[in-house]
Amino acid sequence: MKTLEEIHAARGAQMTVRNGKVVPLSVSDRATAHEALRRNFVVVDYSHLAIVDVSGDDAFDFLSATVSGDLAAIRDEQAINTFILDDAGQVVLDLYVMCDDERYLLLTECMSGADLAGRLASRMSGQSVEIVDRSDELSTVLFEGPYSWEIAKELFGMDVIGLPFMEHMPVSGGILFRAGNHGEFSYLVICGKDAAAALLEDTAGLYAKYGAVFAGLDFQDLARLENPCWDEIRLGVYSRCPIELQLQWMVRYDKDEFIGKAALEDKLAAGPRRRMVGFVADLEGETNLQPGQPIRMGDAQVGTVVTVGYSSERKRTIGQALLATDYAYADIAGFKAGPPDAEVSLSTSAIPFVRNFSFLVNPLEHSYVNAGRHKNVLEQLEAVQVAQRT
Amino acid sequence: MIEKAVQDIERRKEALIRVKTGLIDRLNLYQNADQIDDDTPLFGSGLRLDSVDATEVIVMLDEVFGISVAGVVDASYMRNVNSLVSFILSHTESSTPASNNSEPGVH
Repeated sequence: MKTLEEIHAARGAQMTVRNGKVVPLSVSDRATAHEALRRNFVVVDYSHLAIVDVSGDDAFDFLSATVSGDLAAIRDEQAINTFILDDAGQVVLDLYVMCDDERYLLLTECMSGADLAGRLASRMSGQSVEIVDRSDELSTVLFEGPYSWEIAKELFGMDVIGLPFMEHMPVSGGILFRAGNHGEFSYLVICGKDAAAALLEDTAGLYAKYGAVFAGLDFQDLARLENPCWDEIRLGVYSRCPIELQLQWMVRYDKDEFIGKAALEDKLAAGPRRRMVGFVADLEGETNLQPGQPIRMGDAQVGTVVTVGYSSERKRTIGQALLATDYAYADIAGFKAGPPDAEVSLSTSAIPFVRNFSFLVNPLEHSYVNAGRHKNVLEQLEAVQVAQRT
Repeated sequence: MIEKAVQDIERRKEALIRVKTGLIDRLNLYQNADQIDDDTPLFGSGLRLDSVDATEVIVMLDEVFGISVAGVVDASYMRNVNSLVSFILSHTESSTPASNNSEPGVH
């Protein structure tokens, strides 16, 4: 059997170091990968995901005092997406916390497993907690897209269909975790390296019949432009405040003390000076807008472009901006951005920017490969209309 | 242009407060309005609403905003607080039936 490295090399993948791991940055071209993400699914080596195992009698109390989210809300085989903040209430990293039998598994793209384990250990003070970095022994494969549920069903059985968002189940050789940030059906397979290599090698050619594409981490660029989420690389230099970022849903204010809680409450009481808001160019087509450029309303500078790019789904330049709080509302027209000689007219927008195709696919009714079923709601409605006409 | 933007902002702020306080009261959410961001998802990891809560949101639209969603096929207006407010504002500024299937801000 080939190793992960041999598989990536055979595909001509451009590799990168992320989170201390060498993983594919680019396998297919971005447009192809993005189309597959939005219409079929992508298969990605997600081995950069740090995996830390936290167990012991005091694991719940210790973790609950560490993360900002509501750990009490989850039971076995459930998970939350939350933050670890610093004492100033700033985001250090976002992570999934999975409740798995007698332990918690912590998954993050923002910090290596060794660093996360070390950070957690430094916060311990006599509790009965065992912290083990599993990142070197485990790998993760991501299936994401409107029909990723169907390949997961084919690989792991019918139970996949009933797996709710943010829950996981044991599968042969590992754990299948339904979680994602880009608005599509999304599954993480956490398993040993050999099992990950077997999934990525696809010796049976299963993926081709779904129109699936092998992708590298660069698929996240467009995915996160259209479906924004916490992204340290793109957002971290502009703000790490959950209130400014409109990510307070990852914080549970009414639980007991957690790191950064007091500072965050103080910030909330004072009110944020700026907030992150989506924007869309008023005219179709690409623009030269860049992160860091000013945004104006009339003669006043009211904010800064944070993320920006062209969305083929929207056929316009879209992005996120930090705007002064008085202006930070969706669906407001009249903003200008960029240099005076190449000004772009913008309107603010609710996020996400796209109506994800996965909303049109129901695993109980549709199928990409079963000719006896419609592929999605649109096909289903069209068939009804044709039947009514005839 | 700026005058129009100021008017639109005030209108939206008012609708956001009404929606957030309506959600808090009707669904017994623990948060106060300042702790619910405009882009907070209603379902999944966001406010963690379920299908029963969705029914209550529909009742709120009817009772508080006078909007009936009977016949609205596309439920994506319930994606987050902002999309719900955009839906409400589009229906309170225009009563044309065609607007029933639109969802400003999410395409």
